[in-house]
Amino acid sequence: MPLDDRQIEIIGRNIDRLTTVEARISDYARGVIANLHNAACEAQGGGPLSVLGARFVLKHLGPGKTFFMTTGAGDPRYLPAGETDGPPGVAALAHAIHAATGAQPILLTEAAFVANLEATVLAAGLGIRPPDIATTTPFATTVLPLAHDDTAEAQAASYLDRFAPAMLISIEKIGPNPDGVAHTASGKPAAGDRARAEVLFDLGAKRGIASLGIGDNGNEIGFGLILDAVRKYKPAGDRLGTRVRTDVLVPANTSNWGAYAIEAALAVLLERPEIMHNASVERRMLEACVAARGVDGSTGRHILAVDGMPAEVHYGLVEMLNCIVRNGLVQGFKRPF
Amino acid sequence: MPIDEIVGDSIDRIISIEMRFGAGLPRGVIHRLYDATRQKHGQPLCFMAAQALQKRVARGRNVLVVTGAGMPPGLPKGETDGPPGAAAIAHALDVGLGGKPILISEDRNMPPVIAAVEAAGVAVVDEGLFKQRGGVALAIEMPLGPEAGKKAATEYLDRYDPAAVIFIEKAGPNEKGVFHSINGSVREPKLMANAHFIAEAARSRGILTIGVGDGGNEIGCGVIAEAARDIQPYGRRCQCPCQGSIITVCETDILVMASVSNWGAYGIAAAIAGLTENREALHDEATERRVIERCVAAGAMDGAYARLIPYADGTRLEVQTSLITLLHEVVGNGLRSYDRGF
Repeated sequence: MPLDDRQIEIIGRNIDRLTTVEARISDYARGVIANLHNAACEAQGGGPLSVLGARFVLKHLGPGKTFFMTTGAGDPRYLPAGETDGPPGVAALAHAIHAATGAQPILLTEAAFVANLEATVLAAGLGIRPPDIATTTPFATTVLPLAHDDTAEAQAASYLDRFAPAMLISIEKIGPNPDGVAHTASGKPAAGDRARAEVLFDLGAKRGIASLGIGDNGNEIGFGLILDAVRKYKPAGDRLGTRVRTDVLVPANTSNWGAYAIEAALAVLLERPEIMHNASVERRMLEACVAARGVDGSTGRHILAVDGMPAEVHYGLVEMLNCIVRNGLVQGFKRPF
Repeated sequence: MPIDEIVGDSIDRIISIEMRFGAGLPRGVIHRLYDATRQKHGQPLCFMAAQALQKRVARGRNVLVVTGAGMPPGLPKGETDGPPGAAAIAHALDVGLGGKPILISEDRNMPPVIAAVEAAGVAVVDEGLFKQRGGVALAIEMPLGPEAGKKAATEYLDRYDPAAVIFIEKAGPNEKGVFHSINGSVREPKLMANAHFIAEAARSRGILTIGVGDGGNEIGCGVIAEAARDIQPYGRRCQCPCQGSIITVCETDILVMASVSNWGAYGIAAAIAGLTENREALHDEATERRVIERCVAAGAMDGAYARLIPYADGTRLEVQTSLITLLHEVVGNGLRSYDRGF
């Protein structure tokens, strides 16, 4: 018997609740995420957003289709190969969406971050192939470079023409504010060699391609949907709030967690708990990401942590998401008292 | 600097995530019960409870910790929700505040309570030794039934002069004086420790009372009785001949509403750790594992499955240790700042 809408909503609310626990190290992420999440719910029909995101994916993707996922936040001094928030989220969600729908993921990031993303994706169980093979091979993907300069426009058009993606997904990818300036989460100008992923999303919007944004601070692609709330609740939000909006926005305590939230909701909607990755895959991904020079974004150090939270916190989160999914799918149980 | 209410809200969020089965237990109720309580108190709940304890419990003062849910035949020695919470509170009182925990439960439920508390590093000793030193707890079996309970309640308060009383997953009576399971079945007052008399007596003497619950039938939930009657499936009418509500009328000064009562207790311990700036007041993952395993070995059953497995309310051991990890992270990060330089 399939779950009814009320059961799905209850499970989704608790997935949302868990992935928006503010557990970060940061002085500029205190008392923020619950407000951003509430605003995102209000702007999108009430939520839960994990379920909204998962339903959106299921509506637009299926066998024979491709979808783009982009990530990558960096800084030449502290994060030369990218960070640990983003790649695990992309890897886990790419795997889950493929397992759930059969659609093929194509991944895009800064050329300097490709090695990090490839290593993390491999750890999640997706193979890396040349583009033309990746689009037709189950459980495989390809990682393509994304331009930071004035070649971005032509590149975006050629990627969209070549792969005809049915959806664009952004996870922890900085976008510019309405004045065209992009900022880090602490409100400082973003690195000059930041890939201009917004060009891809702008062009995608023009062509009517579905889009999904996941972020944790308000400066990431997608948050244009609730720019007023970012300005109201986020320190330096006036400056860092991005103009770039997506059709669906899922905020979380850390961007990876937003991706995991959608994964968990996919597992619930399809009643296939194995779609949600487990703690041992989480471990493999984080270790691979750090070994490939991914850096903890809150400390700028090469440590097994994401946004200042040590690996154990993420294993624990994944354990708890699995519990929500699996217990939520239990049916017909009756306690005798 | 000690943690503030922002961190308090994060602690509350962690302990109020509902992870129950899709069938067999009420669903979609926890956040509503939590919100009703949060609105009533106007503060993060665990933070509020910890702040009150910090204020009231001077070093060396006694604190009554009352727990023990269930009865035969379903749960002959009680359940795994309750004793681990009592262990966390006993440990936090001892390490964080220098308070002295006195454990109160039914005779049948006491072995898992003692096993859990000792697994958290707090030895349960006789009264002579308890008076002589810290780092230990006392255990008292409360007699069953209303008359004996009423008498015992006064005796405990006279004899131990507690600075506070904390109830964790402890059944309270409805408006007709009858106890119930969350699914509406009766729990005869004569077969239960009538611990609500302790709450009533303590309140009349101005002693701080804190209730930790996850359904509405536990001592303390009287604070949100009206809301809880609307939220719980058997909130207006139980399944027993009394035809009353399963929601208790028993109130405490502070109510902590959690997804699993243990978690509410862990949240209070986390807030004590944050307020005292002493992370050790919240037990660690290895301790949590030991507490649950010892508790089950002493006969406590998982309350959802009603079986002798290392779960709490249908959530497995790894979920309990994960919850402790998250709480430690929130408190630890709440106590520090970091300039990353970019």
